[in-house]
Amino acid sequence: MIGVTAAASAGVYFARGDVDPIIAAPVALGVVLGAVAGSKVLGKIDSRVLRIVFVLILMIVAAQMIWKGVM
Amino acid sequence: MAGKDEQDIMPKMEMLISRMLLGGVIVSMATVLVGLVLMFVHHPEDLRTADNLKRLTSPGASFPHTVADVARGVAAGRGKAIVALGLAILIATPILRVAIAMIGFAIERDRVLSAVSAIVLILLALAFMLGTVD
Repeated sequence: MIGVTAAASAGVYFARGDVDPIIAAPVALGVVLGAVAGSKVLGKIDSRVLRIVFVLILMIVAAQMIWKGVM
Repeated sequence: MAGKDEQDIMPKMEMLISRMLLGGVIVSMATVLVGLVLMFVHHPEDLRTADNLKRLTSPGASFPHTVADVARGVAAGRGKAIVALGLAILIATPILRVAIAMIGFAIERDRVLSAVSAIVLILLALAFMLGTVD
């Protein structure tokens, strides 16, 4: 999940107390679950459907970022 | 082309590394999950209101991040420390992967690649030391 290069900086952040476990834990769990589920689904799903779902999710995330930045 | 010995050991080493990476992720995620559950079992009031939940991740929130703190917290069964231990395992997994590759290349007598692995390990250690010195 973490690459060799990222491990160097992740270790430093962790030791300096910049990794809040309560924020990092749900992110890590979500990444693992999403990666496992995604790799299973990817082989079966139509690429057109995947593209549409991906665009929709990106639009939701973009709207959320704009919302958080402005409000 | 690779000699007979190399052909025998290469897939074995790749299998070992692949299993080790998978094992590291599974162990760390299981540890994180146990820590999260334990945290909310010990402090159910944190889940009661959105404000309480938000306070957990406020900038002033304290959490263990040194080896001694994490070890003490895990020994005491504190959820936050167990979550931190899981994250530390996750961060340590790719570093261990380099160490295993180095040993594997050394067994293969591949001097160049084992030296490169050793240099990567030394650089990782150096980066960690430089990063943690204030």
